[in-house]
Amino acid sequence: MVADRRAPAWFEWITVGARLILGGVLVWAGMMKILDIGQSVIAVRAYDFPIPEALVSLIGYGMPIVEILLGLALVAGILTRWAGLAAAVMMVMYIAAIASAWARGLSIDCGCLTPGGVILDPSQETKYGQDILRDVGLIICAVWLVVFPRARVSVDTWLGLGGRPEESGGPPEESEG
Amino acid sequence: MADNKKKAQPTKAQQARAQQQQAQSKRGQLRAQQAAIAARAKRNRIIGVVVAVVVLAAILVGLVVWQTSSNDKPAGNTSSAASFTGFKPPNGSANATYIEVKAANASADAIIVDEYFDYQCPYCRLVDSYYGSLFRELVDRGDVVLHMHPRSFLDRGIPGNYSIKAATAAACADTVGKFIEYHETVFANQPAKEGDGYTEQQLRVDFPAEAGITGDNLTSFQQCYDTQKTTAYMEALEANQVMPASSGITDRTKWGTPDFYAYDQAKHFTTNDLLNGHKGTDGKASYSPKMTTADELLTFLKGL
Repeated sequence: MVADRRAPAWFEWITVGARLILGGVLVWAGMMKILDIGQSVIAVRAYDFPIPEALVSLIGYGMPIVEILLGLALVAGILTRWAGLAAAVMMVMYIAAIASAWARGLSIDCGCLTPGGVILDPSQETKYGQDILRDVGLIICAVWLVVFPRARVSVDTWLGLGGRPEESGGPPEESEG
Repeated sequence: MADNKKKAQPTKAQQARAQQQQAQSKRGQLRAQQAAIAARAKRNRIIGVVVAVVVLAAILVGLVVWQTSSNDKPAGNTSSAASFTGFKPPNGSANATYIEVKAANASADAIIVDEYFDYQCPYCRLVDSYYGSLFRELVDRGDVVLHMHPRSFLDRGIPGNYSIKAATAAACADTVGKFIEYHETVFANQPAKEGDGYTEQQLRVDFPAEAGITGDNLTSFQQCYDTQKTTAYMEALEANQVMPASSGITDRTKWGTPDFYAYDQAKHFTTNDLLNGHKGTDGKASYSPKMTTADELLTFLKGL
């Protein structure tokens, strides 16, 4: 019932907590973007990456969808280990993007939890440090899920995935020995 | 059951074994059946989850498509050469591509400068904050004629239609002879965050007041704005936007807003020609103008 057979039983509650935090933030971030999808594209463009406009649109439109699906998968505990891995990869990419904007001296709102975009008002500060710190926290959650993905409260368990013998519906080979 | 058979074992060992085997195989069958049911239930649950995820994904994609298309405006008149047949602001070009800002004393060899912008575009405001007054001075001196292109393409990405509303209002200001004053007011009051837009109070009361539209002119302006009298023209203007043929620029990704074109010299110039960018130690970008006087700007334009 725990991640590793050696891991303490209460680890699974940390796993559930990590799923709710990481998944909740992703769903929230995705919803904020999808409700203002045009701004999401503008936010991606504001990073001023040397990529074609078509790719900017693809990222701007596609990212919120991916975030919401991934977030819901994490909250529900569907393919937790893989969802956690995907979330970790995304967070690393986000940090790289924010750091690059920071290094290039761009004045933008990262568009992480809000639709984002260029900040031109001098009274509005960029918050790259905080943004990166938050993403590091989320990466810790994601890594935990990769290492300890199992918990009773999860769709994975309900589906009998994740190799938990006492949950699988009766081993059929038993009597043939 | 097994005990019974064991009693009979000494005499009917083989039969007992057969029976036992039969019982075992029956039990096995039962177990196999149960396992099959469990496997089927598991498979159904997996299919259920997969279907749920796919349906959800489809709903999200649908939401994005719907959001995008609801921001799209009707294409309007797309033929760039056709003359516009609806209401035209007095200084609007006949084919609805620009609004002209020209002093009465403009010299015959005044330089025509096309300025492309969107009232919601932050960098347009940035450039205008440095160069608006310089261009205005050159216009007043009769050295430059501005062809202003208040575009509204950002409405396709930003909800609220603030670009076309501001463009409509600016064109209404043109009907009372205050286009450039209103134009400057809009940029001076652009919201700090792209997308926050302009309020009705700003567009129909505060901005005209700041632009010096008063009395009968104000009534006339507000009537124009409230009835969206100039909206069709500004929509046509957006639909008609192309770089002048002389520029040779047909690739739409090679220009946008803010963008400039010196018509007679057939020279395209951009913010890169007008601004220096700096990277601050605090991680914020800042910009400074390359030219600070009208004369410097005129020299630059003549040298293009």
